[in-house]
This record gives sequence, C-alpha cells and structure tokens, in this order.
Amino acid sequence: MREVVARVLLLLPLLATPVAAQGWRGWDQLSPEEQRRAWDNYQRYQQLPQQQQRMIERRYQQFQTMPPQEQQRLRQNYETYRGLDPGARHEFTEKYRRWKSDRH
Amino acid sequence: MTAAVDNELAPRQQDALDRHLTTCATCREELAATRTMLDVVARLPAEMALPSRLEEAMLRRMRDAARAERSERQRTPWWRLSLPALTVAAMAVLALVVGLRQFDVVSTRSVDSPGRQAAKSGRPAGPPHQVASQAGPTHVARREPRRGSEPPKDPPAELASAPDLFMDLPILRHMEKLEHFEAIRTTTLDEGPDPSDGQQERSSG
Repeated sequence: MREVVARVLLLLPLLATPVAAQGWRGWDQLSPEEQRRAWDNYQRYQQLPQQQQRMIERRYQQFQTMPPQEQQRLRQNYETYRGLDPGARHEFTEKYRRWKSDRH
Repeated sequence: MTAAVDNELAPRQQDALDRHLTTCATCREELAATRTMLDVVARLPAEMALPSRLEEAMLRRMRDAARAERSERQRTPWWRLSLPALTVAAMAVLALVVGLRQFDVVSTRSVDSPGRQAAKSGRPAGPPHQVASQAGPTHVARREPRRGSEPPKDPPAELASAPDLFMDLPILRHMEKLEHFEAIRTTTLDEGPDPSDGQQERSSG
C-alpha cells in the first residue's frame, strides 16, 4: 500500500506542470472507449517489471513537456508503426537495432 | 521453433530453416518435439479456474522466463534454442494444469478475502463489483489473462491520478523509435546471407 501511495505522490507533480495547462482530464471525463483503453493498459503496466515502470513514468514526464506538435508527430508515427504488417515491422525493428548501434 | 510449427515464419526465415533442417538431425528432432508439445497444449481446456494469488505468481515467473529467454536469444541463433528448455516448459505447463485442478478444489475452501489479498499485495482492492468477482477463483483465458474486463467506475489511485499515462502507454513504450521514426526507416541494412536472427520483436500493443 505504501508503494502505491508513493507512486501516486510521484505522479502528482506531473499534473501540476504542463499537463494541467494543456487540459488534463480526470477519469470521469474519459469516454467509455478511452476508459477501456486506459484500464487495459493499466493492467499491462502493472505486469511490467518495476524498472520498466520507472522508465515509462520518466518518458511520460518527458512526453508531457513536449510541444503539442511534437506530441502529435509521435502519435502519427505510432499509428504508422502500428499499421505495419509483420514483415515490415520486423524490418523496422532490424533497422532500429542498426540505427541504435550506429548511434552508439 | 514454435513460430515454425505455427507457420508464422517470414519466407526467408522459413527457407533458412528448411535448408538447415536438411543437414541437422538435432534440429529436426527439436522441431518434431515442439510440434508434439504444441499439439498437446492445443488440446488443453481453454479456460481454467485459477486462484488469483497463484495466477500472479505464475505471471511473475513467466515474465522472468521471457526476459531470460530474450537475453539468451540475443546471443544464440533462434533455431538453436535448447530442446531441454522447451521440454521443461512443456512439462511445467502440463504439471501446472494437472496440479491446478487438485489445488483449486482445496483452495476454494480457504481462499483469502479480497481485502486481505489486496493488503498483502499492496494494491487497491478495486471497486465493489470487482471485489465480488475476486471472492472465488479467478477464471482466466490462457493467452490474455485479466485483460478485456470492464473498466471500473472507481479506478485505482494510480490510474485516476494519471489516466493519460495509461492512455498513451504504447507510445511511451516505443518512444525512442517514434521520436526517430524517419531516421530509422531510412536506415539501410547490409545485405547478408541470413539476416534473420530470431529476434523479431513481440507485438506489445
């Protein structure tokens, strides 16, 4: 229980910054479809190792500080990524590995 | 091997495997063993009663095993995954299925209350209608445990405090790829004899 409280406290400052300025919505303001998606993802999140949970929280903070255009660009890229067929996704993953190794 | 049995390999991977199988008796045996194991698993009942505490323990172990397997794959060609590991996994699944049927009969008499379970796990007990559903053994599908359920009217504190985080979870998980999407797409891969290494990423939503 203490861990839950600690994590909620960790997340609270995020709401006070740009998120609030951009119109943060509470749970009751989500549509039923959005609630379902958030609930499903919440369950997935709970099953991730703590290290990945921390990483996602950091990325969430980073994402919320991005300009709206940048957020929109990432959303569009995700839709494109999600629409890749298995072969194209595999190729993309290989390219990602290559890109990452070239980068380091 | 499981992908090969399920006909899920890309054509180039399938060709590479077929070529390899013509010269490697060990892998032929492994493929046959995998096919047999999957046939057995496919005949198992699709759903079973599972106490929630045991389910959590199982999921934790499966995640650990998957992580270990993933790191192992990065070092080992995918067709050389060891037969003993697959055999142990199959035996574990079979033993679990058989054992659970016995265990379930006993556990339904002594299952903890949802409040006590929540207190032990450190997680919120959830809204009343969920609590009621946790009073008995949990019924879970084999492939997607717990997902697809109705969202609660009164969500857990973490979810209520940052619903956007969970709405955008897939984006956050793939954030680096998405930030450099175009650069990655235009990256060129070397033409090699066998580019497949069995490290195909699993879909994560």
